[in-house]
Amino acid sequence: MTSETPMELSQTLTLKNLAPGHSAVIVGYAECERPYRARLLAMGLTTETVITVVTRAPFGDPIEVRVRGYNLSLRAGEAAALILREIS
Amino acid sequence: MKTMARIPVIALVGNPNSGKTTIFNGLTGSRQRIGNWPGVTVEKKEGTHLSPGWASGGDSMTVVDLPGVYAVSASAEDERVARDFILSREADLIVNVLDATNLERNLYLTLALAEIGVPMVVVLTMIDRAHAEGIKIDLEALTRAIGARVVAVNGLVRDGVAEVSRAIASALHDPRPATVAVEYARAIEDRIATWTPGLAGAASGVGINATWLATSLLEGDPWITGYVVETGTFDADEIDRVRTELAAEIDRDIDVALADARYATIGKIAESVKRPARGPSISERIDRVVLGRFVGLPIFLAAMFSVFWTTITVGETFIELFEDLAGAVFIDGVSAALAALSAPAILSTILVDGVGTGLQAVAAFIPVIGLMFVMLALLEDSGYMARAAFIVDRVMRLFGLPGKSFVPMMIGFGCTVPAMLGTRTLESKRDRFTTIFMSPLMSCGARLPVYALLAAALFPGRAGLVVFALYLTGIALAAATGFLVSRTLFPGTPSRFILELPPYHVPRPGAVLGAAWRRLAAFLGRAGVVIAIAVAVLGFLDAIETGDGEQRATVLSSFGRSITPVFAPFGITEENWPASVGIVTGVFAKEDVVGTLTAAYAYDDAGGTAGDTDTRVLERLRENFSPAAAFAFLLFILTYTPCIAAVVTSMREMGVVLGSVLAGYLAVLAWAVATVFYQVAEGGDLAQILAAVGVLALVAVVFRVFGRRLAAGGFSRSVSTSSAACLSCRVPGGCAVIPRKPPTP
Repeated sequence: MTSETPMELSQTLTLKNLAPGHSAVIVGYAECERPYRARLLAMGLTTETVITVVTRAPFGDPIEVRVRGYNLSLRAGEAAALILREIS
Repeated sequence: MKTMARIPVIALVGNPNSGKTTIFNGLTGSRQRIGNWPGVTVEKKEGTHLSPGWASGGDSMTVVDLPGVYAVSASAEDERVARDFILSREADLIVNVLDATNLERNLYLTLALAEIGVPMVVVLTMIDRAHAEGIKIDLEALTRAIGARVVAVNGLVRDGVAEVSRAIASALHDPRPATVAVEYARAIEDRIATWTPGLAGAASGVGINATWLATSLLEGDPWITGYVVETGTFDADEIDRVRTELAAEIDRDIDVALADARYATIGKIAESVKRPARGPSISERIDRVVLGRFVGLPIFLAAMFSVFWTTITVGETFIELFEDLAGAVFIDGVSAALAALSAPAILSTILVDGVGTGLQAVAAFIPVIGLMFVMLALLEDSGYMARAAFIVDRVMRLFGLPGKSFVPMMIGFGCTVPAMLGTRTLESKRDRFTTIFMSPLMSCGARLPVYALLAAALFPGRAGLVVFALYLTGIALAAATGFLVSRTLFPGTPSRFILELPPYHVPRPGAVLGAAWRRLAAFLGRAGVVIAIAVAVLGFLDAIETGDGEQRATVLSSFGRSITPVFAPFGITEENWPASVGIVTGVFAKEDVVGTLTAAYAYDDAGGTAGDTDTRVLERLRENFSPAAAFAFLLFILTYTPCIAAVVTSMREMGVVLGSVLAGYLAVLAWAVATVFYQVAEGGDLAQILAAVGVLALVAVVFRVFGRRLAAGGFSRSVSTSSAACLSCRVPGGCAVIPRKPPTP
């Protein structure tokens, strides 16, 4: 179990904090390496795109998500590059 | 424009899993030349398509199947191959293959191709699956929106292939780019317009659209930036200044703004596609179970074990059959033919003992490798392969490797050769080469008979435990090797993990067997010849007698005897020279160690004691080896230079230099590991232990120095070594990506 302080939760939502079955909207990108961001952008993880967590790997990481109708897996730490806003 | 004499070239471009390969196989049938490897790259396949009703311009065309990509900017090996080919304009026509069930993401590449300005047609595949999902596509509206010819096919049906063929034929008469254009924000459009005229010269140099060049420059594409700076059109500071200004003006990162605009355009194109709202798909529901916290790992281990078990047990039962069949043809058949022709003895030695034995050794590989390819294709076609990589990623990361590396290493338990070939699916050269370095340490099937023989002689009752210990030692050494080379020889950050998880489906027998057969054919066709030659040479040396009648001696065994002192530190005594001959013959096939040991002991035992050969061999083994020396010998067999087939494969995958480094490294590692074990367990010679540890330390230092030189030569092109934030990525080359030479126009 990861320990998240309420502070972090209220400040920026990242994929790590999103529970399976929950969806969020991509608000923007935090600092990250350019090739990584370029690939995510090419794969359709652009601003205002809805991203849904499907499940996590048995070890808790990586995370399977659905975006634009297909399924993708990302590591929680690396996907912190995505700044999210939860939607109900 | 194409002339009547020239055979037109068409290239298939599309996302991974878009059904490209199915179209390629449909178009080219058996007229494929698989594995066109220019140096060390990911595979680019070529084939010939014969169009039945194609009247003018000839009746055949060359079809190139490029690696699946998501965009034309390259950060991985496979992407580089595809991008270079697209930009080289070698193709008269690009066939852009789109997965109809996943149109939005697939269209991103279509937009890039339209911006570059390459002539293209669009093929929608998996139309049947799209219908099943309730997706409705208005083909006419889609054609209008893209501004290029669009055909929709079910790639598995013959009619579909004919339709693609007709579309290609008519497009080749009038090749033109798609007309769809992305509308960027005013400020961005202005900058592109300002830069475009100045870039005309640089663009014509590589035969691409100046507007696309300007857009890529704004996007911060490191290779394009490097190219433009190289041509002297703009200097790096100038580009950097404009980009910083623009980013400030639009108040966001330029690459994000460009991608947003492209997906907005895609949104408009996709209005012609009606997609029903859906909850979790069947695949997602399966994933929630199969990847679950408690059952995920057991299911994964069971799946991997069944691959391993099936390949080893089922494959092994056929080894003898194939060996006998090949023996009947290449050895008995050829000797009978030579005898009938009363050919000279030397010819028989070369053809039968050399080439015949070599081909037989290759043939023995067929069942294990073929079955491994079938099991692999099953895993791939079902969609579970991606899940396996997903599950183990967390563990593999400990060795600095992505989850995808696990799959080839698993295969290594069967045979190292397909394991090395399997690394081609990995994204960066660094991950690929590190995995190749680790794969020979996964104890392959050919080593098992050696373990079995010595364990039976010296560890009766505990043979299973000894073999298990060897397998575990192999895994530990592989982990240590991964740890070492990823920090010295191939330094850099492991690639980021972005893995698409394709929907599950029931494996199609045709696709599975077809894929397995094509891989096996490639292996036999390319490696087989080289292996046969190498094995023939060694077999030939082993067949030339140099003895004086007292003892059987060949060129090879004399050599083995002369090198015995090298193996003395791990307990090989001078009288035990057959062991060193076994080490030498083991280089061409590991199972040969057994044959060499039994034969050598039998000849050496010329006096002849009572009892059958098997018992005598076990006795001789007990006389010649102490238990510690036997285990040290087995450690050496486990670790040292893999068989010639694996060495040749590693050279083909990494180049002759790195392949030789791997072979040498494993020999040194084996010597050090065996020596340390023997001296600690029995010898007690501290100097030898220190020498072994010293040699390993030296290897680490040499790797470090060599790794720096590799890096200086642009080895880790796809990997950013700086922990640069996106802000500094606005600086051209800020990601430490070394620009490549532009493709020839």
